[in-house]
Amino acid sequence: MTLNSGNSSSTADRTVIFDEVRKVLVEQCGTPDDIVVNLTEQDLMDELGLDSITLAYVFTYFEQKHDLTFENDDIDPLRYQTVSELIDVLAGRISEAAAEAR
Amino acid sequence: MSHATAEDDRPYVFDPATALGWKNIGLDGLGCFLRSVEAVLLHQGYGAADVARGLAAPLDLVRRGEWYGPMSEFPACTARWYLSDIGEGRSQWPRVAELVTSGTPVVLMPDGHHWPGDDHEGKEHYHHHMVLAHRLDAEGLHLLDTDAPADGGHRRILPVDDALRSSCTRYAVLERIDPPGGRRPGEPATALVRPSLVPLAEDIAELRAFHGEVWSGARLPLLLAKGMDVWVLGDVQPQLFLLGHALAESDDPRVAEVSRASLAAAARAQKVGLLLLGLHRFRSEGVYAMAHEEIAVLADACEELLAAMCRYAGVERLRVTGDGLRLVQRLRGEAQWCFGEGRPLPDLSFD
Repeated sequence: MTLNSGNSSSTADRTVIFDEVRKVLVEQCGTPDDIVVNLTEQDLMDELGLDSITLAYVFTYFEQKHDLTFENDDIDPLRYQTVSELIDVLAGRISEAAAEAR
Repeated sequence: MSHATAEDDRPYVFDPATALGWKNIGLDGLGCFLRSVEAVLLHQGYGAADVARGLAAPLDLVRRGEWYGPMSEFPACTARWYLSDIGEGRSQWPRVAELVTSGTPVVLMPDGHHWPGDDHEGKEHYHHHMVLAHRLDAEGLHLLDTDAPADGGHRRILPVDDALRSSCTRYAVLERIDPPGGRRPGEPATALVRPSLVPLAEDIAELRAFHGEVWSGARLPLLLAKGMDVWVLGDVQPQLFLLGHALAESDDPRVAEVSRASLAAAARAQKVGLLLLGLHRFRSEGVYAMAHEEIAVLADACEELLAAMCRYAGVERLRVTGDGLRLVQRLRGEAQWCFGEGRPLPDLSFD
C-alpha cells in the first residue's frame, strides 16, 4: 500500500475521516474530549497513547462502515509517527475500496 | 566430568527475529503461554518452522473436554500442569526453585494477587498471565515475559520473597520434547486437515449460533468478556496461526490455500482479541456492538478455511447445526479457570 500524505483523497475526505476518528476515540474508546477536540494531523501518535487496542477499534469502525479490510499490520501503532500518517492509511484504503467497487 | 551441551550455553529468549510470526507484539499469533513453550523449543534447537509443525494440532477451536487450562498436548511435547489451591502457592515454590535451578524451565501462571506489577496485585486472585521462569540465582528468578518491555528483551528478574513464593499456584513443565527437525514441510497436512473437518464445521456452527442467538452484542459481565478474550487469544488465534504456518512451505497448491486461509482467519481472531481487550478497558456500549459484529466476520473467515480444507480433502462441506451452548460452556469454564479465585463464579449470563 502506498502512503501518500492525503494525495489520494480530497481535503474534504480527509476532514470527514478525521472527524470519524475523533468520533470513535470519544464514543468508543473514552478518549477525553479536550484531547480529541485539540487533535491535529501533526500530533505525534506516541504522545496520544493510541495503542493497538485503540487502533483496532478505529480500524474496525472504518471496516464496518465502508465494508473493507485492513491488514493487522495497520493496527501497529509503531507504524505511525503522526496522526496524519494514520489518516493517510485510512484514506488510502477507503479510496482503494471505492475504486474496486466501481 | 562435564555434561554441558549446546542447549546449556544457549540462552532462553523472546526474540521476535527468530520467533514464529512475532511482528509487533507478543500476541502476534501466539499468546503468553505458547510464547513460553516456543522459547523452550527454540532453546532446544528448533527453528520457527519447526515450532509451527511441532505445536500445530487438528483444529479444536471450541475445545472438547473438561480441561479449561491452556492447550497442553502438542505433537512435539506435553505441558504437564501442577496446581495448588488459592493461598497454597508457597507449597509449590521449593519444586519450582529446584526445577529452574537444575536447568528445567517452568511456565509459571502466577496468582495475580501476589504477582509484582499485576493489575490485580493485592486484590483478586486472578490467573491470567504466564511467563517462562528459566534461571534462579542470587539476583532472583529470571523470567521471560511478553508484557515486559521489548527494549529489555522482555526479561524480568524478581527477587525471591514471600510474594513470589505465594504466587506459584500454577506451573507447567514441558515433557517428552521431540528433537528438532523431525517433521518435514508438507508432512503435517495429512495429519492436520482431515481430522479438523468435522470439529471445524461444528465449531463454526457454534460460533454462528453464539453470534446470532446467544449474545446480542449487549454489555457483558466483565469476567465473561475476559473469558471470551482468553478463549479467542488462547485457543482460536494460536490454533489457526500454527496450522497456517505448519502448512506454509508445502508445494501442493491446495495445502497452500489452506495455509493462507488459516492465517487469514488467525488475523481476524487477533483483531477480535484486541477488541475484546478493549471491552475491559473502554466499557462504552459501542465497543460491544463492534466486537459482536467481528465474531461473525471471524466465523466467515473460518468458513473460508473450511472450504479450502474440503477442497484439499476432496469432500463435501459437512452440514451441521449448533446452538452455541457448547461455546458458552467453554467460555464459562475458561473464565472460571482464570478468574474463579477458587470458588464458583456467579452465574454469568449473555442476556
